[in-house]
Amino acid sequence: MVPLHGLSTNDLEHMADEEFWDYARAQADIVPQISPQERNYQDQHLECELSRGNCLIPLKAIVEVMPSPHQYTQLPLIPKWMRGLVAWRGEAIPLIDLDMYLCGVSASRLDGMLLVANYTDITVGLLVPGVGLTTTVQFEQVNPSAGPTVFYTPIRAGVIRGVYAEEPVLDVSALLPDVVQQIGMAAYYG
Amino acid sequence: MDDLDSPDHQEELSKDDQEVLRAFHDLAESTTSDDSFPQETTQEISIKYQTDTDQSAAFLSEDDMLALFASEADEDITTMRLAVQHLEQANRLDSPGLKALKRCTHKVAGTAAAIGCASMSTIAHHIEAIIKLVENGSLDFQTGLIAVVHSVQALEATLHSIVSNGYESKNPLLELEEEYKRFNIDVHVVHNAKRSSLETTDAASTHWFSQHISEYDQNSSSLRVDVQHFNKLLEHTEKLIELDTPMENAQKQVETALNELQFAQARLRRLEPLLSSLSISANTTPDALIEDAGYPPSSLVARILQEASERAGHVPQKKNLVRTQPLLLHEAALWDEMEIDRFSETNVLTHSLTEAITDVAMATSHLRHALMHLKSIVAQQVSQASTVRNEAFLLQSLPFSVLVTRLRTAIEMMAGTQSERIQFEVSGETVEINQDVLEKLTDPLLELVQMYIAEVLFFTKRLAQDAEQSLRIWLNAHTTRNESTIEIGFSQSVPSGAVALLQDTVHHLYGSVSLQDQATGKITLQLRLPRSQRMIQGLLVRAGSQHVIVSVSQVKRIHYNKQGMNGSSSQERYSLDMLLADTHEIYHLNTLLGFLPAKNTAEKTVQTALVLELDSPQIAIEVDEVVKEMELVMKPLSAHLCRPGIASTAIDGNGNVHLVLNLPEMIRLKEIYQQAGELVKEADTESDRELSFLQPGTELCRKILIADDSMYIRKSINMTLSHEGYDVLEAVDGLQTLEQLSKESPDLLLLDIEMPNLNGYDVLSIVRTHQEFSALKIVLLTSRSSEKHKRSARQLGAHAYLTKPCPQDVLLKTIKSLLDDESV
Repeated sequence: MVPLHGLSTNDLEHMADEEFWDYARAQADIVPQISPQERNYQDQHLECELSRGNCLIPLKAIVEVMPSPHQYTQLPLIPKWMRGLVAWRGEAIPLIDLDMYLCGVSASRLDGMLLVANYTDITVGLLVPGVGLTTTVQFEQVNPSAGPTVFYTPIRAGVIRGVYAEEPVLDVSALLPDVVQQIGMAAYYG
Repeated sequence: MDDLDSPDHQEELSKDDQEVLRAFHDLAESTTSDDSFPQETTQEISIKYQTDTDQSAAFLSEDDMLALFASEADEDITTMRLAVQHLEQANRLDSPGLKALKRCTHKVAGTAAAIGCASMSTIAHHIEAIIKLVENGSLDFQTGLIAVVHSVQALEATLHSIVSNGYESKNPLLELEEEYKRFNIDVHVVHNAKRSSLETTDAASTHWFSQHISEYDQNSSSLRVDVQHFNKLLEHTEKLIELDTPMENAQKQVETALNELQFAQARLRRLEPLLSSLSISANTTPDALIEDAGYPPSSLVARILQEASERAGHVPQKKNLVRTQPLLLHEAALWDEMEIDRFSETNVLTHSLTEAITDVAMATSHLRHALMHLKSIVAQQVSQASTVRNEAFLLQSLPFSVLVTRLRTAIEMMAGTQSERIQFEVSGETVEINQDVLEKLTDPLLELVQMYIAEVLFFTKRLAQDAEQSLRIWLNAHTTRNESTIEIGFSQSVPSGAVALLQDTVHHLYGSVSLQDQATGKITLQLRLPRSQRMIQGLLVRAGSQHVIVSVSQVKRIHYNKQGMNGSSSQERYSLDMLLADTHEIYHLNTLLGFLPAKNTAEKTVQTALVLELDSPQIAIEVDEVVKEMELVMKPLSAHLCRPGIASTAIDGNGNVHLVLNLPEMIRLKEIYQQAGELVKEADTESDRELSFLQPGTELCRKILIADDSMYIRKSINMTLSHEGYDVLEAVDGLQTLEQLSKESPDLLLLDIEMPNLNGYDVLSIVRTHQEFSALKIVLLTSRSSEKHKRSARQLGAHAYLTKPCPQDVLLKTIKSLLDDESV
């Protein structure tokens, strides 16, 4: 239930239309505005090189970009797109081959780049062959995806937010929970 | 058979009733109808069997089955009455009577449902609900007790109606539900009640523990420590320990530098004679060259003389020059600065080289001393870090007596209301044990003791001579540098569910539970736990390119064999033969982890193996190398990264992640890896031959063992399976199940969860640690239908899970598919 700031539902019901919309507009102004810098940061995306083209990942979800570790630790019963575990800031995080995850083909070598991505309390390492520049992509500029392409298999359609300049834009809020769920399920179903 | 499918009938019965009746109908399909029972009325459900007259001679008749159920239910109701009386006398909930009441109620609920007595089953479920309401405080003890008394009476009346009339009357249930309404009892809120019950118990337990710790503090010369500061201390201690690896690495780098220096020194030494030989060959140069030049052989001396003469305007006369002779090699050793003009350049170079060699040798010697000093300091640092860690442990520890006092009080209270004498023997009361461990073990151990007392008071039939002897519970604690061991033993029967009760807690504490002396009917449970919950003293072992950590406490010994099975040394062969003879099974670690397929057994060579600290049979894990023993800080894995047999991770000073393995658990749950197609068992050919006689019977007559404490269930399933041509065996409790499994080697085990003397989970846990049962198919057949139970069963390696009452066709189909499919 949205708080009515002192007004009861009954009060709202007795308002004239004009009064109601004035009140609504006044309440809408209470919502803090995002500063242009913040907005700009939120729109920043990092271009990642994949075997079949590039994709864009929101920069706000990336905590660190570093050269890929030379070695990793294998973990049993994991999906084939998970290489293993790597240490990051004193914790073991899963190392995900993003190419393999998206399109089932691996081109990411261990001399690529590691993007440490975070969403809520989930942290994973995304292994990509290379990274490019950052690009500002506003929400309105992302077009709906026309369907699976060579960049990703149909099963991964849910983690693609849309397309910008023919490059898929990843939805980290869907990608990371999906990765975690599938890693967890692999413990039971291999 | 009555027309169960008729619309009228379906309207009268609830969905559950219909399901129960249908299940029973299926169960009794192989028998023909008997008209001795009257038809059902609107409020009464008739119980009918279809008896196959051709088979009746071979199987129990319908009357026999009913009599069996009635007799068993009567016995259970009597025990329930006794348990209620016990509760009344004790006037509190934590009485062994409650355990007995719960078990009997559960049994009646399951058996009654299986035979189709819906009312009896419902009443039993109501009793379970009331107990839960009382436990979570939603219902006061006295009201709950009265309700239970009424419920037991209703059960008795319903059973009486079955025995006297041949059909189940619903009236006692209806009257009982009216009673509940009068008492304001809502039995439908049990699930919520169960949750809050757990919370209440936890809160009570934590409160007790805190209280006890404060009592302990008052009685001892302890110092109160701020928790935050203490945690910081632990953190710093861990960081100190983590420094071990970088220090060792630095030491290795210095060692490498020293080696390089020594190598350079050796090269220089090799150059020295070469240069000397050059010097000798220079001596053979014609003197004319020197004479023509008019300068001494050394250009340095010549240059000095030349410059001096130029400054003085004096040109030295050739004839006045002293004829200098280059020094011979042996003369060069007698270096004299005053006679420098006698030395050639080669002599000077040779001398410089010799000096350089001496300098390098001295530097090497100094470095060697410095390295020895560094090693000594590193050793001291490691030792000091270990001391600090141990001191930190002690800060976190409490004497075992804290837990003992609690158990002793509980035993006295529980046994005090009975005439039973229970002897409680304790050793190791002063042993210091981690507070977390003590706190987490308190509830399961109390529960275990409660279960034991309920077992001996209500279920164990003691012989007259035994009755004279008091019951014994013994408790022992001891500790090594890295591990605490707690043993609890019982002189009489085994508490049902003992292993399952402790296993979860102990595994969460990175420990292991093992059983001892089970053959004698007595049982000792041994709990092995690491002293610290954050640090691990482990072996860093290599398997292929992987390095993993195995807790030192899980390894009995390390087997080394330099040349493997083909080694020529008789001693090595002997050593390997010893390992193979003593060891039931050898797994390769990489195979066990599912990283590599199993090796061809013919090519097997065992280089290094870890022999595990397990009960028989002995199991060894082959590894490629035991790198070193090290101490690491454990980092728990996130939930989605948890894997069976992997306790946690540890990150070394170089930033490498190592999996910390729980090998006994990994072996126990290896089927999970097998199901994923990851693991192929390695079996020695000889071991296979030894095992072959243990393999189950022929295709034509497969043996099935039914383990259930309900005689009715056993007999009814026995009839069904015998009719299908299976050879059927029975076991009434967990211990008997284990005996039958060893003695008869059945192909399939139909296992109930709730049983006395080790419950179904205990049996599963034990079976999965014994390789000789690896071919055994296990089907859990239980009235527990929650996902939690199904998940536990799967994790423990059950092949199928069926819920009672189970339709006959489902049961038979499941059994057939498991027995036909050897790959399962």
